[in-house]
Amino acid sequence: MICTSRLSVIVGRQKILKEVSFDVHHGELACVIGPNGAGKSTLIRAMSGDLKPCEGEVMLAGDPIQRLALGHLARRRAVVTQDTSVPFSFRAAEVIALGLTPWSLSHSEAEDIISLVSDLTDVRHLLDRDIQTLSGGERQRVQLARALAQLWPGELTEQALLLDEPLSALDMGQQSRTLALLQKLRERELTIICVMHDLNAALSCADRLLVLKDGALIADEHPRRLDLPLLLSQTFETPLEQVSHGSRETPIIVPVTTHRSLTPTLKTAP
Amino acid sequence: MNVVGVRGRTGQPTTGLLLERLSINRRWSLLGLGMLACVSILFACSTGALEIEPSRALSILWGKISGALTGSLPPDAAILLGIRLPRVLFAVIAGAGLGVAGAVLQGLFRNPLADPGLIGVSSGAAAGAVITLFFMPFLTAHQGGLGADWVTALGALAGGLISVLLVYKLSTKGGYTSTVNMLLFGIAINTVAGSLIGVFIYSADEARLRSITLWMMGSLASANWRTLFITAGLMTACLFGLLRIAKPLNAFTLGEQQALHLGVPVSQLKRRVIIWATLAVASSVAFSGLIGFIGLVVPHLVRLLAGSDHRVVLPGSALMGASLLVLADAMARITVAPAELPIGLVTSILGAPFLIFLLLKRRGSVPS
Repeated sequence: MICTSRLSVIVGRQKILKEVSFDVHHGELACVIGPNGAGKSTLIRAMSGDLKPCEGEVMLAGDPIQRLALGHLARRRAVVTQDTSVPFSFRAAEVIALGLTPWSLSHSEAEDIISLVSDLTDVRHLLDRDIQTLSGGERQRVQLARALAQLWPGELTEQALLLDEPLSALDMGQQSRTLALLQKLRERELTIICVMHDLNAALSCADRLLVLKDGALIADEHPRRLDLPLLLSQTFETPLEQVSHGSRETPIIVPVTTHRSLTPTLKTAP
Repeated sequence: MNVVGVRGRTGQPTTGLLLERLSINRRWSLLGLGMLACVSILFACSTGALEIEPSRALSILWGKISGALTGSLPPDAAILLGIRLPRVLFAVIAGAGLGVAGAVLQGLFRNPLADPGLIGVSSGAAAGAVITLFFMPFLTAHQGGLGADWVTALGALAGGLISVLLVYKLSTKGGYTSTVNMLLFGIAINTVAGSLIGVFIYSADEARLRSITLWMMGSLASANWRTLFITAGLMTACLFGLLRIAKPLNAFTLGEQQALHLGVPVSQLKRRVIIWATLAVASSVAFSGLIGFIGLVVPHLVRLLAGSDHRVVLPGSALMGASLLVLADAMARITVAPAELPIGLVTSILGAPFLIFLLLKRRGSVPS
């Protein structure tokens, strides 16, 4: 559905992405993980068409995205970035309605879609609120609703949703509800690529794990097929271990924090 | 279209035509602002050295429109139609242009404190006008019959356009125009223009110094039917160009990247905003001199009244800008009658406290 082929991106003089190739299929939820500076957000920017690659290309359902008209591309993929700020006093409903910019819809059709996506993202009670008075987490959910509104008038099976750390400002309850929503959207065969910092959240929902390090894709696998602790320990350059917990299907990854490893930082001056 | 049977987690009913309600609010707000503009025009037509009753002013205007008023005009009709009306209508056009230009630039820079001066148009126009006024004796001797006002206006127009062109060219690399760079180069060009103005003011004699100072403080006294028609022609094109970009400008408030994701041709939008806003401001100030604060304050007032949707902010800023400049000009004419206050002084005296209020309000609303 959406694939990259030997994708390389230079920002300034730095090569941020190095020959990244993968193919995310219809209805798959792929999580991109990696340490800070690995190139995760750059990958999302390149896949959304913001950054022009110096080599390789991004294909959306067989079409190179750089050659798609802006309006056509906007009807086939939506993006939620980390920047959720809005400098003017818009109502949350107006921000969500901006997702409908690429479409020509009547007022009642727009109202129906806003109503639906605000239910899905649990922001119905915020619709009449000024976006500037919302918390970071609430704004993040409003932006997710805006991205869903952008896709809703089309066919979800032919569209892609790109998310850059959609859980970063959410509380635990909202995180789990958002993960459940992503699962629900995946069941409707929407293709989702999501950058996540929370490894356990990524493991709990991902069909595919794309592991980036220093701009290169070092693993592209189903989460359960990997030797997770070893791969992730090498990726994040810190000892990690896998813990099983009761009825939970997916493993939990936690840092190995031995007394010895903590000692140097806890030492006090004599 | 996708249909899902998902209800809210809390099972709340639909909020009930929220967009429809906002749309109705926008229409009522615009109607109110339109009425404010009409009342302001009527007030300004009635007020001045010679008081004309509003009903009399209306009957003179109707007489002129219907063709009933012919032959030699009574004194009040001659003053209204020959002097006051073109001046009031010029204030309408200039105020509308400054208001809309301020609103689109605040939208483009995603900064509610942006104003047309940021991209160098005002300081460029001032530098152009000052240079022209400095060389006026030479220019009036060699320019083929144009009056001093026209020569100054052309100088201001050229200065404004050249400085924005410089800012735009310097901020564009590889076909991409950075709004942050525009702000920085705008500051640099403003400084260069300020220095140029300083050099010419320093070198000017008494007479030139007075004409330069008066131009810098703004006045609509030179407005007549001829200047009005030319400015109206330019401004109609500008308003037509600017009012059409309300919807993409709404998307742009989410950020440049997000606007691109929503299918907005961002580079084209920036170009259109810069071209039309520059032309609107330059043609407004060319005949009237510098008029501050309208471009900054008016969009705020409209947002407070009708929300931030540019589909109401842009036409609303045109109507509110027109009303405020008409009222400011009326105040400039009557406060120290029979003399006149420079209109730039009036807008600054009223606008500066409002700017302080905005900054204090912003300080209160932004978490530290």
